[in-house]
Amino acid sequence: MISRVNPRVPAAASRALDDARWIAPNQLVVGGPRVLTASAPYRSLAWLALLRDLAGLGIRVQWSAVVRTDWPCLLVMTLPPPIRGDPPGLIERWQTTYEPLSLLWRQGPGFALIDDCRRGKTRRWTLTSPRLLRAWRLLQDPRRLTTGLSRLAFELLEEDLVVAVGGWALAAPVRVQRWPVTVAGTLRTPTSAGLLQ
Amino acid sequence: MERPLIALVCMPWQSLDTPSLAIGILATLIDPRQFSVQQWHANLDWGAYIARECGVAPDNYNEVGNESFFVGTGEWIFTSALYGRPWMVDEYCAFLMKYDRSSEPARLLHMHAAGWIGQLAHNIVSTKPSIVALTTTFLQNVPSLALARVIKVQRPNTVVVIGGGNCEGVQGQALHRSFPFLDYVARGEGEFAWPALLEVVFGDRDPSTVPGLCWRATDGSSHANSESHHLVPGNRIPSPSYSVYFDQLENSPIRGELDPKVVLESARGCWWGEVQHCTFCGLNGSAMTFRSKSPERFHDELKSATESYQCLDIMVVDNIMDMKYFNTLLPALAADQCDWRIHYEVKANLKAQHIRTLAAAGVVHIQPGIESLSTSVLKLMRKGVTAAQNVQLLRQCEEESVTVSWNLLYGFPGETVQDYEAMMSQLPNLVHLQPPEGVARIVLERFSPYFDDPGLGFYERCPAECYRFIYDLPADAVEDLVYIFDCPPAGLTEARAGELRHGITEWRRLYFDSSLVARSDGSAIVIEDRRANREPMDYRLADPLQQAVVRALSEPHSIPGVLRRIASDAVGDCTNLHAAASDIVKWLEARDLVFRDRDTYISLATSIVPEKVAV
Repeated sequence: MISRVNPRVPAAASRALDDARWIAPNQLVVGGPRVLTASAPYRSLAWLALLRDLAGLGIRVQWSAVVRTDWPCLLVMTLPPPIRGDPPGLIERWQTTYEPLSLLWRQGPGFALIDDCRRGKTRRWTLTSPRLLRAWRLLQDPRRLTTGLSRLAFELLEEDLVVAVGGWALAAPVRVQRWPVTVAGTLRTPTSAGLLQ
Repeated sequence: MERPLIALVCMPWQSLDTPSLAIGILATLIDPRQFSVQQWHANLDWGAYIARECGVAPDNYNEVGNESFFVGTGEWIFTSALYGRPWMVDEYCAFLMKYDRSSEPARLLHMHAAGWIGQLAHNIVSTKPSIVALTTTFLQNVPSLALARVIKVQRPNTVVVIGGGNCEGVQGQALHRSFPFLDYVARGEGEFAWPALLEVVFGDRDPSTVPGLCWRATDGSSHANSESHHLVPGNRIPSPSYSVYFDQLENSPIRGELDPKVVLESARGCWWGEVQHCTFCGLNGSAMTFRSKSPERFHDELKSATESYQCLDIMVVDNIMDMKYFNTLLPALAADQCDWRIHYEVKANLKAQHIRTLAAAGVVHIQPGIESLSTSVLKLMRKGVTAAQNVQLLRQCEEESVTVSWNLLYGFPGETVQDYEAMMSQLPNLVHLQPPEGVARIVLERFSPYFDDPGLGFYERCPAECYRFIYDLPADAVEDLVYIFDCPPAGLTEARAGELRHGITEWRRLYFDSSLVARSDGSAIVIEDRRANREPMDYRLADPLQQAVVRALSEPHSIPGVLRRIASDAVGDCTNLHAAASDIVKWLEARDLVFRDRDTYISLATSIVPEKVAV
């Protein structure tokens, strides 16, 4: 069982990883290609949800993709790219433009913060309204985009924070639960002792 | 009747990203039924002003605040405002050049400081405050003094008070004696000093009865009361209030360039310092006694602050984490399922389980005071930790993706070249672990054992050279006023230190492309050596004894220690276990797979390679 190898991976996720193998506690190699297509929106989005959550746990996934022309690709390029796939030009663009954690969210007590560093600028949303927080919770898994959900999540859709395809939707930002090591230290205190710079 | 107005002022070079803990606490100690309070986070104003007028970005502001303490740039910039004219510009810029530091933008900011101070003082006095209270730590002395002077010029009847870390002990007395525009200098913990001062100013309390207070007689002469050693118990340390800072931040033109953090304290003092005061550390002054908030209290405080300011980045300013939090506070934070990023200072001798607990709670950045990778030098520092333990910490933090801030210090009286040889020869083996931010000769700090007891090796001293360009005062006043001192270099020569510096530069260069990972393939331990300064190698350890030795060396052990550790493991027949285990350790050492600390060894391979980001 996958979940036994890395206890942070939810057991439910392991079913979608039946053809995967761990090469390290934080590295996973997936077998066959994943197909992203608007004609199978739930299956495509379920894979992306898993990929998103694994990225948030600091787990690197080696996977391959077949991206159909009906797929709205730009919206998923904040997720870890496949190492190979079709069409090669698109995959290469995904690989070269991908920036880890360029679209992320964090859970706070009674609110959610979304940081969006796409397109060269930084934007932040703080979700506090019960309506948006409910929509946000729902959209962590692929959901049918009903009129009710569209109304509930209107602003999230407007701001491209949700991947919507084939009548289904999924929140795109990664929930970061394992931060990268930062080498110069982003939270430095000015109190380090005894240092002559 | 109108309530008297109290202005609480935080001057540069408080970080732009963080509210002032002192102001946040003092504001809560003022009874709103008696007084009005206005907070001036003037550091934010200065940050916005220099961005607009001088094109100096907030990152450059924070560089001055965080990295110029030992050359005093932040202080010198405001001397033009303190003295009312450009002050030793060429001399200070030449001084900076000695340290290979650019004198821009310091020179530019120096020219703007007086005008900005004048405007700030005008803005403050126009609200007609009864008291202006300034808080000063690190580089806030001259900015605060400059403002105090101009306020007194513009509105002489304003009572001007200064307090904070820079006022502790004789420093506060010297400030009060040297700068007559300071009415009071408050010394000691603000929870006692501040309410007592309000009783003096607005009541009929005799100033001579307030412990630690520096005050003036009617003839203007300076008097300093003896300091109290009464300390606030942990659970009575107030929770700060930062609403004003965060409101001001939201409206600041530089908001978009800042990454705000909530500053909290869960404890004061240092429990290790109570046992053995690290010889070079002057941080706790006279308040070493460790006092922490109860885990429940601090848990509530952290959650409440997060909710109030909707900020998940927390900087805890304790000097050292309370060890009981590992079984109390940290599991409670982990159970909250909130995505905090918390910074804490900790003692370095933490074990794997401690680091896992920190990471699970969201403590993703620690400052453990590693300081050296030589046990002899660490002993001279009285750090209470060994080089092998430091390496173990670095390895564990790599595995749990916890960022470690540390510096490599040298120049301790009594250290020898031999103390460094083993460390320097092994630096190339550590390039897959988080490197130090820098290498530095220690500085003599007031309140440190090295300062208090010259017999420890720093026999001669004088105020650090940078103060020559900052204070226009007699030598004895400067001697009492300042925090850092120059002294003849001890220990390692600069030539030898250059080799050390080179080794660290290489480490920093190679870290991103290096890994050394041990994994199990079911029947063997496979060590994949991808350190960037050698040929890639894979080692497959199939023998049960090899595996047992490698597992034992996940913690520091001597060879007899390894034997004791593996004695309980069934490792098969081995007639000469000691020789066999010894051979395995030597084999690992020959391949640079272990760190050797005299007769102790620790495995260097990590279980994972974390994501790494340069900032």
